[in-house]
Amino acid sequence: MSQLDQDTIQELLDSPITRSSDFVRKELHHNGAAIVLLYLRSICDDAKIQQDIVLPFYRADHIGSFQDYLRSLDSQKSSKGSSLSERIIKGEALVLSGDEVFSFAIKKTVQETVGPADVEISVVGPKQAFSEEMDININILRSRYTEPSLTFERGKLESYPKTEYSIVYDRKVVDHAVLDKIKKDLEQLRRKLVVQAAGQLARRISNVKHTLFPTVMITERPDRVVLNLSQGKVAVFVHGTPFAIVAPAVFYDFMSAMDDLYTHYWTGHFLLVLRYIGLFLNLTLASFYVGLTSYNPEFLRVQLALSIAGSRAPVPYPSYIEVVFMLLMMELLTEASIRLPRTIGSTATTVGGLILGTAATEAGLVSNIMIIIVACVAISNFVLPINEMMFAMRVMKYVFLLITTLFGVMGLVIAFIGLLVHFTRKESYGRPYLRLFKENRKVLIR
Amino acid sequence: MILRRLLTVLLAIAAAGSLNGCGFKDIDKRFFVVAMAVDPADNPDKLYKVTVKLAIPSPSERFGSNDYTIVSEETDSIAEAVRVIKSEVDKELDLGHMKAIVIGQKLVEQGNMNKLMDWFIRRRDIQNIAWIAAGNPSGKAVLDLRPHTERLPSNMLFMSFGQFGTETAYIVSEYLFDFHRRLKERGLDPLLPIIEVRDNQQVSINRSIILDKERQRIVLQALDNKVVNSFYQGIGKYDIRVDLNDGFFIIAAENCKGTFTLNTRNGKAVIHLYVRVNGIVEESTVPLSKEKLSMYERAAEQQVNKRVLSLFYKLQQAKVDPIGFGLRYRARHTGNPDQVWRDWLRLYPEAEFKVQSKVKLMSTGQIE
Repeated sequence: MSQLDQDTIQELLDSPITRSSDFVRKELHHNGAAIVLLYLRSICDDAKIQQDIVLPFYRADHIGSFQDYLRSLDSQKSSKGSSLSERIIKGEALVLSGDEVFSFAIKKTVQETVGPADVEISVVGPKQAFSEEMDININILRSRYTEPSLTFERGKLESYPKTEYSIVYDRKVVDHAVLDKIKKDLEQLRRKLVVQAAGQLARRISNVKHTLFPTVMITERPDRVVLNLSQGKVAVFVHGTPFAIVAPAVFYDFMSAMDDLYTHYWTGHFLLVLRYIGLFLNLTLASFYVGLTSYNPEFLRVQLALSIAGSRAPVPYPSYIEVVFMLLMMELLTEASIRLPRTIGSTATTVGGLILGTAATEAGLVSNIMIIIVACVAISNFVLPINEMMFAMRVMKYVFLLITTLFGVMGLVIAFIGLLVHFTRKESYGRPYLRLFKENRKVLIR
Repeated sequence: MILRRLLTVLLAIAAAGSLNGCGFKDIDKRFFVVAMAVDPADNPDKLYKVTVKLAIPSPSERFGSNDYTIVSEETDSIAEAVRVIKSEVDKELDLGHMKAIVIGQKLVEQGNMNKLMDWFIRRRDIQNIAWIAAGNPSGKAVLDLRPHTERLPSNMLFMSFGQFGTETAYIVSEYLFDFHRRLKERGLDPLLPIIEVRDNQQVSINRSIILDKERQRIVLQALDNKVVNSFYQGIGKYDIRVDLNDGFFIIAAENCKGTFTLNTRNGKAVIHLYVRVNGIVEESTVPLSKEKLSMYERAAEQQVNKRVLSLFYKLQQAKVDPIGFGLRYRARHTGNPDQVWRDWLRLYPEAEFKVQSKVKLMSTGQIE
């Protein structure tokens, strides 16, 4: 509710929104009183407007009691500071009555259901993911995180169009330095930028622009967000995506699945160890193949060395070309099956994986052992629970491969050390990247 | 800033490139030398005939897929021979898997082992992995064998010596580095298993040669070989024949371990040999009863004592010491090392051996 003056009316009439076909301007007359109703039909709930505004207007004895009724409505919001056109875009209905303007959030939500988590799948954990509607996400978090210290801060990005976000944190345990830094990063976002996904925002707010390894985590699991909030981290929701950005995030976080906490102690640790083995294989196996077959075959048992030599005999190209060729095929398969509709996807992988693999060996393009290695590399990559780390490691193995091709097994060792060095000097909002968070397991009160 | 970083990376790559030790060579462009033999040369002007066995890899390994090719060269030195052989094959020789060295027995009889070993012990890629043996009738004959059960060329030798496959106390396996050590060490003499070629592409490896520091001194037959091995490697899988009044039985030993202590008393060396045997009766020509197990044990002990004693007196007479009594003596006596060594040389021919064996029979092997 605010006083209506000529400027605000003029501003509204000048706004391009009035020329849109879903813009509704209704003048209602009753008992000599008149109100003007302004809203966007596309995002407002017509029935609710009829029920909550139009009918009471005709039932009211005089305009004064109708205005009193309007003031009592819960949905009324005083979004001071924003212009009338902005309120309309947000999905509010405006009622101009006399010299006063009332606005109501009567937004029709398109998607109210919450889908199952299908990016980070858990076996025994909660099954639901976040929704694309921010209010629903807040609802989910509130009901899971029943602490009065849970705080939401809504805001709008300086993007074009302006995207709504909200910062979530537990006021009691949050690291305020991190919180301030994130707020500052969000404010610093440049204009002329379309932000439609959490990943995009994550990329924009990270300090190092061209980094391979993620320093903030993007997750669709409410349980993970709750866990991270309790550890004093900060989550950011972007309107329109079912993902939350969680910061700070270190290497260890990217290697842990929520199931680790839900299963028994030994099975959880076994899975964790398995994941690190998978990571190691994924990074180094292709490089080991090149290094061992082309530089140091004495490293292998003689039986294996001879069998590799035998299976490589029909291959005319050096080992690294063989490896790059097969890895490329594998990447194409993976990429194709992600983008394809699910029904065609399985056919593509079957055709590609089975037929290509056998045919390539029979044609003498690659060796038998190579097929095993490529399969192992591909599978071990999927062991990593968080997508961004998976993609990072997918790229990283080519770096390893390049260095090994140039310098042999010694190069592989040095590349591995180099990766560790890179990790140690990396940090996420002041947290060392390679730190194994012991504090992860307990709630910290700062 | 980016340019500087790029420059640093490029420099690092260039610098690392210059450090590159072994070059890029695909595994199918290499010839793996799986075994090497050295024999006396047929040509009287040359010293050695060096033979290498090159594995020809096959895409699918089956029994009998042990393709290989043999290349021989006669020269005065092994290094030369290897270089010449390189010019006779189409792929790069890779010695990284050369795990068997076979010296022709004639060469071992001739002696001069120290000079022969020089090349082998300098090669960084084989000095820690190769086994060494003597070949009868010649090293080349041993290499040029194609047992039907092999999946890879020379795999039989690797399996026998590594005790990956067959486990038996008859095979003494000797690593190159240990052989070299024994050639140099005073008080510990080298031994070499003998690989004998038999008919039908088979071999037998149950005898061994004991050398002094230069040449062959004594050939141990299978039974003696077994006893030496119990002191040397402590491998079980040992059989002992025990004669009774009315027949004999055979003990299959699960483990058999020999140790010794060395005392000098009144200017005389006394060597106590202890042999511990655990086993079961595997074959018998007479009925055995469980109650009399301890009696059988005593009989077996006497048998073991007799056999061990006869072996060690034989070694003593040949003036060789593969077990390392001399080394033990040198380790336990202070003074001028040369003087200690001379003392031992004086003591050893008159040393007295005493054997104490302990046989433990688990069962008679019968179901009662």
